[in-house]
Order: sequence, then structure tokens, then C-alpha cells
Amino acid sequence: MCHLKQIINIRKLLALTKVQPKSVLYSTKCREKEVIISKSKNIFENLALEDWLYKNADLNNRNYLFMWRNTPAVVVGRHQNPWLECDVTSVLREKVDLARRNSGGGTVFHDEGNLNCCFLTTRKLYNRKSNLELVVDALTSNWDIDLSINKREDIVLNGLYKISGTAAKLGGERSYHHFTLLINVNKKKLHNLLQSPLIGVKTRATESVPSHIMNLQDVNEDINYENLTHVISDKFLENDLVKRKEFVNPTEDSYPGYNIILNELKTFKWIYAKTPNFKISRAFRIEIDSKIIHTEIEIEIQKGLIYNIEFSLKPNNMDLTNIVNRFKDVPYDTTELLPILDVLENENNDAIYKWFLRCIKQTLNV
Amino acid sequence: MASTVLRRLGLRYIKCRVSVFNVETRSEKYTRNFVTTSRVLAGRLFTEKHEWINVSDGVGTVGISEYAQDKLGEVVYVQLPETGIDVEANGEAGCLESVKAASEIYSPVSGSITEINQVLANTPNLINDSPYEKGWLFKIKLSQPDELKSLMDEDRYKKFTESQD
Repeated sequence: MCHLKQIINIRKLLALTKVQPKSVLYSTKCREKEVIISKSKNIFENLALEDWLYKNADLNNRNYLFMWRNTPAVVVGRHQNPWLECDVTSVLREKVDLARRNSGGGTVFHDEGNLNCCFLTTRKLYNRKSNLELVVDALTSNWDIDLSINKREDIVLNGLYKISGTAAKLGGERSYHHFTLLINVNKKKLHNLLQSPLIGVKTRATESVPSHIMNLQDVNEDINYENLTHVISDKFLENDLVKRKEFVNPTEDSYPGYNIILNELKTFKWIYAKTPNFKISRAFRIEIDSKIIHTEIEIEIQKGLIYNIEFSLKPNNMDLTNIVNRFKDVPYDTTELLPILDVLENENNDAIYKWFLRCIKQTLNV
Repeated sequence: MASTVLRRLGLRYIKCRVSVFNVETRSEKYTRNFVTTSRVLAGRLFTEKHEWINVSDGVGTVGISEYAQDKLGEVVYVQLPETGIDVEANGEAGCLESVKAASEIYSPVSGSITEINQVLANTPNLINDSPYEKGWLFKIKLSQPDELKSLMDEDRYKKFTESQD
């Protein structure tokens, strides 16, 4: 009898332990899931669609995983200074897109060897760790690779090399967490472009933390964009019966209001003028006609425009205010600055004048 | 001539009022230092998005709650609205960045921004260290004071945050 009672108790216990995980599963199961993969390879179009989803998707009922890749682009964080995070002149010369995203965090370089994953959900369910774990799980269950998540919430390969950079945007009720996954990114280009030639910058903008990086293909050649998106989608939809997965073209017709977001993302006002105000200070000296000449220049950039240029010249034997006044309120943009510098260069043949102009040019790095 | 004098007088009058106002706010700050934390929170009203507002003479001081700063982690950058602009209740009024996340700030009420906390530009972590005092974000002249009725007092907010965890 006693024996029987014990068995019943054990059964009760077993039943209890069974019920709990079921209910937990149920609570995650009842939220719908959808995978969206963009067919566009344009960074602005994909960031616009991401922002559209953040603003309009049915996040109260559904979790979204949005994935894409794009042609070469440097993407700075919401409160960063592009002039300080990358070589703006080289970026534009090499026809690489320069974009600012809405989320925080540091600057990343994308090309077609990079997968972008964006998890959209409510603010309450926002959980970066679980998203990263899902991706690590998807990868390690398909390929024999050593992946872990570090303190900064980066995915690291072999315990050391970063293969992913994380960032997030949080609203009152909505959120997204997105990150890059390096499959086969052009590392040389990445290093070259993410190096600013600017010297002497004083800024309060958030600065990136440089890391050692590695490509997934360095450890397993089989991994590519197609199979990676496939295994991550499968993992995301694992417990979902409907398995919604769509390949989309971001257009105004499919996503009303999309064009407004897209156009805004491409403006000088968003990409450059959003930069927190900053100053560039440099000192130069030269010997002209066996006299040492010394100048200190401080250029203040506000909302992407040259707000003020302060300078000292020793010995002070030339009026150079005419030069600095010509830059007032000119956008900090090579295409706007070079014509002005050309005009100024032809206005005076004096050696000190020409040298000072070169100093301005070097300070601005144009 | 007369009009210049008047204008000058008027200007002086305004300056005078401004300085008196400054003295008032300053003395208010000094007295605040002596009250206990619970008294400090007494006048504050809270939103479900974790902003607080403390209104005096039609102008509200806005910040984020202790609970919110704790959830965000160390704030590294603060983007505040420009003074003079109008914002709506629950409308975006800036952004905080912490541990790679950009979090929107929402205004608890409608009105126009009269002042922003300039100190935060260089020391954004005041929001973490002193969310109810030195870490205030902006001041707003209320256009619809009735909106305050829909906000939570400290007790209700406390219960609300407990239900969130």
C-alpha cells in the first residue's frame, strides 16, 4: 500500500515536471514567427525595409527575422562620426556606400560576404543573448565550428576572433536587435576603409571598439550565404507549424511609406549632419625664406557644416581671415570643399598664403 | 529717443526678471539637497515608458526612472531635443545610447522644450548616477496640463515596475 502511494507520488512529481516545460514552450509557441529575406543588395533599401518593419510590422503577435546582404558599404552607428570611423574620401572614391543606421553601436563594413540578421520583437521580449544563442546553435549543429558569445555580446570564433557585431534599437513597445555575420568579407578592404586619416579630432560621438575578426569560411569552406540563411531560418521556425518564409523586394507598393524612409536614409542630413558636433585641431610649421612660420588651426563642425575656423599665425604678418570666412557654413563634403579651395588657390601667389591653404586642406583631409 | 529709452528699460526689466527667476530656481535646488529621497520623489509622475516628470509653475522637468537606467546600463551618449521645439505626449524627444542599444526617449506630456540639461553632453552617465536629480533630461512648458492626470504617481509606478519583472 505504502509502496503504491510512493509510486503515485512519483508519478505526480513526474507529471509536474512534465507540465512546466510544456507551458513554457506553449508561451513561446503561441507567438507567430516569420522570416523575411530581402532580394535587394542595396544597403539603403535594406535599412529602410528594416526600419519599416520596426515601425509597422505586427510585433504584438509575431516575431520577425529579417535577413539580407548588400554590396560594399560602411555603416556607422546612430551617434557616430563617419569622418572619424572611416576614410570618407576613399569610401566615396571606391563607390562604397556610406550609411548611418538607427541603432547604436559601432561601425561595420559590409559586402556580399556578410549576412545581416535582424530580430524584431516587442520591447518586453527583446533578448539579445537568446537571438545570438539561436544563431550559434544553428551554426554549430550544422558545422563543426567553435563558436561562443563574449561579454560584449559578440559571436566569437575559436574563443578569440569576432565574426559578428551587435547593435539594437529600442522603442517604447518595439525593438530590434541586429548583427552582422562575416562569411567571406574582404578583410583588406574592411581594414583599409575603417581607418580614418583624420588627426586631432575632439568629439563626444560614440567610438567603435576595434576587434580581431575572422570569416566563417576561414574555418569551413562549405558555409555560404544561401546555406547560412537556410539553417538560421530553420532554427528560428523550428517550433512553428506554419513556417512563414518570404523572399521580398522592398518597394513602396508592398510597404506603404517605405520610400519616405529610404529617401531620408540617403540624405546628407541623416548620414553626415547627424554627427555630434566636433572639432579638428592641428598645428603646422614651415620654413619660408629662412623664417620659421607656425600656425594652429581649429575647425569646428556643427551639423555637418563648417561652423567656425579659428587659427593663429606666428609671426602674424598676413591677414588670412578672407580664407577662413569662405568656408563658413560649407558642408563638410569633398565635392563642396575642393572647388572653394581651387578658387582660393588661384587668388594669391604668396608662399605663406599657399602654405596656409594646404594646412587647411590637410586639417580637413580633403 | 523715447522709444529707445523704453526699450532699454524694457530690456532691463526682462533681465531683472530673468535674474530673479534664476535665484528662485537656485534656492529651490539648495533646499532640495536637504530633503530625503522619498520626499524628492513625492511630486514626480511616471509613464509606462519609464520617464518621470516633475511640474512646477507649468514647466515640467523630465528624466528617466531609476528602474529604466538600471535596465539600460551605462549611458554613453545622450541626444536631446532642441530648445523651442514642440513635442507631443508620447512623442519622440531624444535618444539614449547604452551598450550598443539606441533607446528612444518619449515626452510624458505635450508642450515646448524650454531647456535641456547641457551637462549630460560631457557626462551622460549622470543619468545612471543621479536619474532623479543631476541626470534630468529636459524642461518642457506644458500645453495640455490635463495630460498629467493619466500618469502614475510613485506608488502606482512602483507596482507597475514590479509587474514588469
